[in-house]
Amino acid sequence: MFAICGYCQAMVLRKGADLENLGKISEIMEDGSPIRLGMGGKFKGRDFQVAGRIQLRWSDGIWNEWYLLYADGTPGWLGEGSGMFFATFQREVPPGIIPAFDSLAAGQEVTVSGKPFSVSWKETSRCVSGEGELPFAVAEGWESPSIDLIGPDGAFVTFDYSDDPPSLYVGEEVKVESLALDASTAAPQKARKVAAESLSCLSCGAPYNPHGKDAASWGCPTCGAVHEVLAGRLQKIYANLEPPDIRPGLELGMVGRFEELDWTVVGIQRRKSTWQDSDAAGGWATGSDWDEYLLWNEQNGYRWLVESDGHWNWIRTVPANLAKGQTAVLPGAPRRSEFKHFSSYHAVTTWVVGEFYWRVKTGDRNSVVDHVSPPWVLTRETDDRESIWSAGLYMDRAQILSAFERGSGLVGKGKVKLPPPPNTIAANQPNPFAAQGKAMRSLLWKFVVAAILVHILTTLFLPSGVVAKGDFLVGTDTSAASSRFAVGPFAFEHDRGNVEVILEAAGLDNDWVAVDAVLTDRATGRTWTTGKEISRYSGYDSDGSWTEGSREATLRFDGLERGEYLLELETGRDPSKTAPQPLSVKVRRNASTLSWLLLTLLVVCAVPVFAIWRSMGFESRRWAQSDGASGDDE
Amino acid sequence: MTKLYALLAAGSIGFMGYQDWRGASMFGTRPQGEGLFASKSSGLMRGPDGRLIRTRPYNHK
Repeated sequence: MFAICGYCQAMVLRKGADLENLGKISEIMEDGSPIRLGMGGKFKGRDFQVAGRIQLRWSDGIWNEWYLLYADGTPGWLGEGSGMFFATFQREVPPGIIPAFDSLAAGQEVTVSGKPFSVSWKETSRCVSGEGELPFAVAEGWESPSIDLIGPDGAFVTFDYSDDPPSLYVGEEVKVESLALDASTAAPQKARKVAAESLSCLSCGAPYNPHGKDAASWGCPTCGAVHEVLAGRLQKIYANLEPPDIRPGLELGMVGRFEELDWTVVGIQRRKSTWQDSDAAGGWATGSDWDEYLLWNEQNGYRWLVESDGHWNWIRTVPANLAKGQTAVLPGAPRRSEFKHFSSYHAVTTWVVGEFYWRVKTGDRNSVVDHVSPPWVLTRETDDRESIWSAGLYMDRAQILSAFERGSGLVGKGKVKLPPPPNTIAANQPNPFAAQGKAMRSLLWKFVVAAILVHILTTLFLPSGVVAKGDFLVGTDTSAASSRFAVGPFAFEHDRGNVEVILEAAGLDNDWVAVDAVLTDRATGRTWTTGKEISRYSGYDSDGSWTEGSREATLRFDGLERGEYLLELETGRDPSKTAPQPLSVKVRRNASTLSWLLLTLLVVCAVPVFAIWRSMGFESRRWAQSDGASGDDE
Repeated sequence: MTKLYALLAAGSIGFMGYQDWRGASMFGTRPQGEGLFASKSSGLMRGPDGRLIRTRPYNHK
């Protein structure tokens, strides 16, 4: 057992009944952690108590490993860094199973217990302090090379190379609020003093008002000097940046209300996309700029608000590990979503101002891969040390304006100035026409089926059949006997309807017969007049045989009412023809017609087709901006 | 929009059902003197002697 005195920082190692004094260790740096030594809590229904902590420093800041003792005597760890918490337990593994530290790189895929994991963080941290009880001895400067990996559904693994052979820790990300921390048993905190000079810009003396206690860098908004920050104190200037010509829409210190919480803008970085292009100067082409606002809330840590081209995204880091074609449930998302690769590029930070929880640098080129499932975007950003996944939720300009007006108490005062609304489509912008297109598509088939059914049923029950017919021989002279014929009279025994007259000139070849028809309602004298020419020609030419026309023709009379009708036909023929031409006439009542059905289908389909076309057009414009790669790698 | 469409589609189907039920044809010949689409004449040509004549030769080249 190893223990660090909370008052004198003395380190004591107990071996059996003997106590060994190992000297002193520096005081814990104030990092704003919500966890304190002695606190009780619960993880997955198991009670624990916070027994100790190792505070470690890595190149971009401070992180903690809290040592937990569960009620059943099981030891566990709670890693804390960048506002995220990971509960882990050590697992015994045979030597040689864990890959060598140097063989893995950030973003690399590794299979652990048959599941795909990727390296999210690789670093050699150094112990800067500790407190309470720990299962092994540490000292200031003690090195802890470790590699974190993230797997599907938030699974988390650490390879700890401070042991020989390396140790394996398995766990998952947890929300600090889910741990039911009980401060009543926590050890009292020491009051710490911060030197006044460490709260002023080391270049121009402008005041530095720390927000997040784990700040690692601060860019002075007055002179542009970028400082290293440790334990809330400005240490040294490591960069000087000129302010950009176009200022960001939001300013440091503005408060926005999101998720019913107040979030303060504590840092702003401007970035631009870049990609390899042999035609560009230096082999790298650059795209447009965008602004990333780091927001901070005392209880919930950090979030990002990203504005690009007038589009906004509310972003938080997530322990995702999205393989090709995989789905994920994002925090706040109502359901599991399938993400599709959208684009791969590199991002370069060109300007920073304000406070950041890592040592923010300009000029570094990070690899970025975006996967989308509107309104979500899942982004993996990789540099040489870590690979971070973040989830973004699309927000429109009105939401952002409202959030900052409410958060800053400036509702309706017009003091929040945002970039103009976008005239482009963002990768994860919700399709405003999708819901309508989907609803229309669903309705379309129902109405098409309904229209066909109604048509079938109505025509099925409509009495039809031949009501009169006649066979005639059409001559070539104009005498009534050879050119004028009558069919009927026949009775039409329905309140309303139509008749169809089918004319058939059997044997007609290279000839024509003209038919002038008059239908008369014998009671009322109403008449219908129409006519048609029956002609059929055939022959042979260099292309082979050909035919033209038909031996049949149909006349349709509409708007008939109950009554007695007579159909009179006057015919005409080619005077050069001598042989009489047979003409068969059939009168059929209430012949089915597709015309109303076709018109109805046109009306029923037109609106959904337009809605679907509009929705597809939006998606087409969205995906036209994708780089088209199908994988999830850069 | 969706509700408006549903109303339009249902109305169209109802109208179609009514027209089908009364045996109406969209392109059928209407009685003379009745409405915009009323029949006026057969449309066929007659020669000087009053005979129906064919004015359109067959189209085959």
